[in-house]
Amino acid sequence: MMKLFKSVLPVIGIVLLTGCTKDFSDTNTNKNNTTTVTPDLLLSGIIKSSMDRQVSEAWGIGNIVVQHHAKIQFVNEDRYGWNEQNGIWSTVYGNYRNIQNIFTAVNNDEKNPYFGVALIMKSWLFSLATDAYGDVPYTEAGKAKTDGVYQPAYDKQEDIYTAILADLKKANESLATATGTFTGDLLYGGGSASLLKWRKLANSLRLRYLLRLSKKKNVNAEMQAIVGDPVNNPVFTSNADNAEMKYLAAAPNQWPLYGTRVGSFDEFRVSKTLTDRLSALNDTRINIFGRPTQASVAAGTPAILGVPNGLSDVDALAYNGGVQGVSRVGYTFACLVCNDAGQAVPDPAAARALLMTYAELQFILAEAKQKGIITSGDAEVYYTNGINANFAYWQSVVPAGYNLNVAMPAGYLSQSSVAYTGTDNQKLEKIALQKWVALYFNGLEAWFDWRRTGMPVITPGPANLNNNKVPVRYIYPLSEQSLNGTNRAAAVQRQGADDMNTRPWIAQ
Amino acid sequence: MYLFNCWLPASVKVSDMKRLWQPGLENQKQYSWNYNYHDNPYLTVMANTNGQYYDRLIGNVSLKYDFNSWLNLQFRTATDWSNERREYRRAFSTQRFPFGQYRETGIVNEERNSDFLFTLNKEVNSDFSITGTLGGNQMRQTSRFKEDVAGQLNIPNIYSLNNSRIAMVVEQSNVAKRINSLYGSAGLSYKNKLFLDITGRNDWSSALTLPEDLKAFGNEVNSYFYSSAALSAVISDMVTLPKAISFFKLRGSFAQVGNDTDPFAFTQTYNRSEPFGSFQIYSETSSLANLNLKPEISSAYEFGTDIRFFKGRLGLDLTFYQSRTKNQILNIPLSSTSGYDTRKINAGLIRNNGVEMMLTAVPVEKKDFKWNAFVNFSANRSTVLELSDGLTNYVMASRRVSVEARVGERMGDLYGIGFARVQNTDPTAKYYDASGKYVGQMVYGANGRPVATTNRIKLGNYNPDFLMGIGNGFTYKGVRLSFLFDIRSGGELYSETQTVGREGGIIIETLEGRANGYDLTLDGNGVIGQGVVQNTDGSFSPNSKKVTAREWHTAWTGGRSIAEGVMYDASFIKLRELQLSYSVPDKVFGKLPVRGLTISLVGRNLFVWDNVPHIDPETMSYSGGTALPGIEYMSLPTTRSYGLNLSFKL
Repeated sequence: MMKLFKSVLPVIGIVLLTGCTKDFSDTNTNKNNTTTVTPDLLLSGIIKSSMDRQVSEAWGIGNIVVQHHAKIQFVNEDRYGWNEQNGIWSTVYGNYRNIQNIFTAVNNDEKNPYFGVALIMKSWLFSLATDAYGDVPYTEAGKAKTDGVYQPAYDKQEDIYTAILADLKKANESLATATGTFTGDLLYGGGSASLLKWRKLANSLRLRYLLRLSKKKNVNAEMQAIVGDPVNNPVFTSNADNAEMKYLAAAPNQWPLYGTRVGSFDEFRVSKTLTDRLSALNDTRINIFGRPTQASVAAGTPAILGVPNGLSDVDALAYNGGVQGVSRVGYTFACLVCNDAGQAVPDPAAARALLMTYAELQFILAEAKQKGIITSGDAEVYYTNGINANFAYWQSVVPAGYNLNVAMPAGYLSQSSVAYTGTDNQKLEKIALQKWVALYFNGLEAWFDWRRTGMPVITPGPANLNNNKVPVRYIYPLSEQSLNGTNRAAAVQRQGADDMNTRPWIAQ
Repeated sequence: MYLFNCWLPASVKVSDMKRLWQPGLENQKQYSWNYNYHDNPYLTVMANTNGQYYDRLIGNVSLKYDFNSWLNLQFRTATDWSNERREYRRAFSTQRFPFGQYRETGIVNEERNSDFLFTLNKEVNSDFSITGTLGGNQMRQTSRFKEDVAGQLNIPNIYSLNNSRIAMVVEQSNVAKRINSLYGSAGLSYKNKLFLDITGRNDWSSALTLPEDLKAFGNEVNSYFYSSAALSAVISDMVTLPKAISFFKLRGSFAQVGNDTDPFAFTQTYNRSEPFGSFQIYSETSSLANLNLKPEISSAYEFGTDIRFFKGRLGLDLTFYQSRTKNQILNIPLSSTSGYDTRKINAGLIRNNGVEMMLTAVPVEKKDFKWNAFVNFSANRSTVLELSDGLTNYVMASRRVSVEARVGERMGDLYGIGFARVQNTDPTAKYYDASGKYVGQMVYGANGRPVATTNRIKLGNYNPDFLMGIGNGFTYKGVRLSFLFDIRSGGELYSETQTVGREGGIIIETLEGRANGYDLTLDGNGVIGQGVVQNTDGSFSPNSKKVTAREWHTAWTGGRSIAEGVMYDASFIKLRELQLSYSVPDKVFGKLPVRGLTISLVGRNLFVWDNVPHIDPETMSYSGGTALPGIEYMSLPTTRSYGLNLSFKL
């Protein structure tokens, strides 16, 4: 009996144990989350995070570098002490992972609406990356899972631009005949009606990038082909086509600045450059961009006064008698705890994230016609459309309850500083000025445009840390030195020193 | 700590803020000296609590059967079960949570082990005896995690999930792991002087097992075997040694340990984020799975000796070791341009070698007085010999500086942005000085601020050269005094307290250059950086630009980017413990059952002598759950403690 016990037991034990690896596969299967999703679930996240990035990039750098806003505390950004700016890099490559998943989910079927839309998002995101950093990984990017490429090579900016334009053209053609359910669209609401709007966005973006490219290559034929054929190449025709994301009334999807601490919000003020230029034009849009200073309101003579860009901390904080003498950023963009005395609580769903607007398109066409790049249309008509559209846009966005005067003043368009008159160069300056106002809070687009034309002029502030030069680029993330060092070094060798003053190819 | 180290002016009386709330607005609006950025620190401590309830049950049931005097069999089942509940409260008017927040997390963990073990212990004859074991173990770990978040609250001061103002967010995760093992050991001893022990073990892990649908795509290796052998000899029993050596033992061993990884390493999931209104949002995890993950095996050689002199008055215990970990499972960061941020790999080969020594002595031993002392010493060097997949460096952690291991170099190297300096080795690179006169000096811009390097440079290594402990004890009749010093020599660390503290002007270093304020025309104001500026023709001249203190101290870190200026030597000597105790002689208690009554006063972490201002060099910061050694980031101060102990036996 004991002998049996002794010999059988260990055998049973060993068998039981080793046999029990059968359910190991099941134990190690993650049942908490799914391993497949439908494309609409990915598209929503891609749009949300990209549009949020547009707002935070405009707030953090974009509005400041082109001098819509100025800082009075923590003034490093205003003095061009920029260091790394990795927001765009991480947003673009993080979203690219999911964009590729959409292509995989629809099997690269061009008849599927998600294909064209994902291609537009990919093109727009990579345009942000290349405009901001210059040469960046593109062809080999995002191939860790599919091809085991962990350190992608950096592509030349010229090649990236060519590919983006080709992709947008393809997206336009694909969406013309695409069918099927289409949801998850935070920009245009999804459904088959939205596909036309996505095509308009694709073609309007093509015009934006072609104009940017016009400095380096002859783009006349390509631009005219789009403008001259609105049936096959539809573009924005009104503010209803604007590519923008509306925020919601409830947390956590409110206007991103709504939850800011009051100290963080008040570091940013209206720039004197903006107030000077708009008051010279008698432009009521200043009422949207800034609030009357607390000192002037107390004195009974409300006035919107800006602070110059690029002052040292001490000078910035003391300007015009201190913080009460300098205008806070407009109420429409405000945080919950940022109201002035007697004001109603700000609306968390009023301000919107912008990708591209009808007004911007009109100014692109005005400049293109003025320069003879395109032959269709009339430059003055485009120009006036743009101005009217921008005024109308703000009137629709700013809540009536704020009691702000945002209507275009009578005679605005006929005053000499606005009317479409003068030499060719003066006309281009006027277009640039109005476009600069219309690109308020639109990511870094105003900066990219200034980089191309040099207009309207940006004068670095007195305490700037960049030898009186306006930065023209973001430096590559420092982590790339450790994680993709060889390829980054090759790009630096080709493009020039990795600092803020190396002009990317497209802006040279 | 961020508030206290960097932004709280010395003019604010912190005790005034014990009054948490504005009058008439209790629980609704906090009272603070400044409402722009920070919370009242008492609010953080008293109202914004992170509570924890933790229940734990440990137990086992075992059954042992003796076959005869030298062989037995044991079955056992043991459990370690815990239930943790965390409550995270944030009050109304907290800067980052104007409507408060309440979060409840529940974590139930269990680890259950069931095993059987045969044990053999036989004296074969008067010279030899053998021992042996043979057994197996089945381990099952389960973890159930659930978190409910009420992101904003309706009514202040009601911390319940019923009080949520917005849609609740729930997150759930169930994780399990199983390891089955078989093992055995054998030992032989000869005349109680020579000992040989060998072991062998094989583990099968579920964490290295591919899920059914992925089996075709990867190479599964979920079983790993590891063994060890140890030989020790009591030389003093085998050979006659000089009288001074009372005991001498030599030992040597080779031991392997195998290891698996965390569960779910092979699945690439899509995770849900908070929806945008009616739009659901999913995103693929940024962690790339590796379907060819193998177990890691660590092999170590160890050689040591234990010698005692003068019948124990002096003792030396010395060990040398070298271990190599093959296929170490590491979570490495990837360039985000590859589409993913991290990936688990089997690193090629990492080597660790070092020495440990312990010296004990009783320098004085008399009838009533005894002095005993010990010194321990250890030094360790860790090097990356190979990494897999063509990678050349492994970034362990990164926060302002990155902790890296490049192939062929020591683990723990710190890389960050430094000061640009004049060089005479590369005429094509910046700041080349043919004359060689200014080599090594810092370069300044025309504005008097130091220029930063474009690329990260090596700033040091966080590992110490060696660690030492010195203890002494003096006993006189019933009184004993003992103290212990901890010493660390070498290694560097980065201090964020310096970076932000200089920006705020709170720390004492910022007094430089502002004896009379910021007006540069007054004496004692302004700082001229030591170094050179580059002239337009490429030559260099000494820097003469005076900048205000305010400008200087932020320029020192280039606006929170240059790390070189705030790296410090992490060496220290600490008085770790001081103890004074008195043992009451037993005869005092006579017939009472009390024996061995000892009263002692203990002080811990009493003093530190170091080279880092303001912070404890023994710090480490955390990012998420990862420890970042060598990087101080607003760490909490170390506590000095005093205590009274009373012990006795009945």
